[in-house]
Amino acid sequence: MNPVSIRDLAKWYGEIAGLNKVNLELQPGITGLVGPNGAGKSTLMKILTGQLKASYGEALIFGKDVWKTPAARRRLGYSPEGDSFYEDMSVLAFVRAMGRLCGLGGSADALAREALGKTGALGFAGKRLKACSKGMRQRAKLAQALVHKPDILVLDEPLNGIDATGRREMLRLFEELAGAGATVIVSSHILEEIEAVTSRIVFLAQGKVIASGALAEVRGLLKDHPLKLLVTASDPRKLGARLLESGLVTGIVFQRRAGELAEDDLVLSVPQVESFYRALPGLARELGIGIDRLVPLDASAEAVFGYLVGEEMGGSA
Amino acid sequence: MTEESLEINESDLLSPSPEATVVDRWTLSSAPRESRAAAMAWWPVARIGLKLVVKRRIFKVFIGLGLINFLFFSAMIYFLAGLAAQLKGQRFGQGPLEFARNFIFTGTGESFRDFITSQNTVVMLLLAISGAVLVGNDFRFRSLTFYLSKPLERWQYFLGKLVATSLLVSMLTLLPCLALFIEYGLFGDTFDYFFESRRILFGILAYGLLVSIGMSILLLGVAALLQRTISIVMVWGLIFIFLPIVTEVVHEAARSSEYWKLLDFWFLLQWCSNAFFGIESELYSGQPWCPIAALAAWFGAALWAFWSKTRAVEVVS
Repeated sequence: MNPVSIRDLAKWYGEIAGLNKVNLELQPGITGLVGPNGAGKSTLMKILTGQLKASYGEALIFGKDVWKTPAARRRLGYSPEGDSFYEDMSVLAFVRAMGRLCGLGGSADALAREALGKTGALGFAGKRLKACSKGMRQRAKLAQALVHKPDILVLDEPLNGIDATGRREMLRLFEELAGAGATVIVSSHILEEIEAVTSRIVFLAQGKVIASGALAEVRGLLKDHPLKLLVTASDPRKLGARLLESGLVTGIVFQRRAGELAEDDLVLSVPQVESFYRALPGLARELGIGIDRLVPLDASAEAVFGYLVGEEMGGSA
Repeated sequence: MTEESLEINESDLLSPSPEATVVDRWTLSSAPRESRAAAMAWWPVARIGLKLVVKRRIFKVFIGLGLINFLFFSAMIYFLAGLAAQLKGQRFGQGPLEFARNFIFTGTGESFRDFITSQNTVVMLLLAISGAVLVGNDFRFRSLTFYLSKPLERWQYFLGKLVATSLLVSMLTLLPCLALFIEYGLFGDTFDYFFESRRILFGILAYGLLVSIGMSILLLGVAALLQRTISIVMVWGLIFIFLPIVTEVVHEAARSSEYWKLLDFWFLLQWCSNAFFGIESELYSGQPWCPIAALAAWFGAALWAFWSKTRAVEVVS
């Protein structure tokens, strides 16, 4: 049984579709949720955490409808995007109180300290929330999601306001939790960070899942957007001519190498990435050309997302 | 700013049992003994609410003010009982003693009813300023999301808030009134007072609970709807000051109808208190179901307001 199953989920706000027929099966590990504002990320997260009732379909936590069975939420931790707290509470008191809401009794204090330790917030556990910086508040928010040691973590923009070092720590924590068997769902607008910890990404736009899966797989499916590859070779013109002749590339742009007067790099448009990667070493050997560098220019989550949204909107990005 | 003292010992942190796997350690179900019963999920909500109020100095002042009345009556009962013991068997002083007894605290249903009614003013003020802290801020600053994503049903959230507010009110009404009842009975010549005054005890419990729970329901509705202290105070003033004046004026003008009085929440409480204590009154001579229906309408409106705002988390921001 998958920890999270979302079936035909739809949410309507009057005549506006917040979500439209979303189907997802999420397994332990980290899943990135990516989409622009209004894509339906928050709506999906709110339905998944039992705060919103779906207009149609169901969101299941270990097979139980999260809206109809509040007890299912014991296995779920949620860190919302906004940081509205009880400002007069200390960080420890807040996390402890949230633990009690999750059903923790006498162990709430010890578990709250443990969660604060995990998120690096133990150092300021006695500080009042109103005196905490944005980064501190993010850590406190994350700690309250972890306090009852849930199987599923739903984190809405958890890296906002955290400095670079803190972000690395948080990402390591997500990896550690995922490694321990937790299902971590992270939404973020900083795609590189999501990409750094997971290849499983769900792309949302206009309330629909426009693509999901490993980033490379999704990129490979974009037939209308051949992968752009930057190649630095010892004889770029000869290599370019041979690649065009073989039909492995559909376009070539010569790009002057930075700091060089006569040396060019090749920017290739590659429709069939796997065939290209298989054939390139043989071609280079055959032509006696050395290849120094091979860099995909638009395989990042951001670029893929741009293409996907462009296709969804009926144009090209 | 005072910060919570924090001492962390290794023993404070839960150490996983040696047989537990990593996944087990991260699963709440592996530690069912730590969990609070689901039926009691409302208690942490009440606890948070009470803590928020009790921590603020202004509420301590109001509670102190509310208890002055109680301390005065308590001291007078003690003083008059002592005086009665001293003057026992003497003709001199019996007249003034009896006068003081009848004037200050008679131990009848009327005296306990009047005590609770006199406390209502402080209760009204206390609730007006604590409404935002107890309830309004959850909606205004979207802290509601922390509650609704926990294994907690909406009615349990309501019940938690209701218990917190009712406990606060009963600290000023029901509990001191019960203390006065016990004190009065204990300082009598015999304990017959307790046996003879079962109707009074019923009246204290019923009226005290009505004031505690009824005013709390009203506050939850108003605070959920208006959220800000200033707005809550204004509407509270409208209900408890302006409306009674208006109904009085209209009632005087339209002498033929008593039903205008039913708009006055104070009047409804007073009518109920007379019924509970078995006190005959000329306050109202209409159908008895009308005040009950009017009270139910007030509570119904407040519950509807609270419920609609709890569901309003669905609105996309």
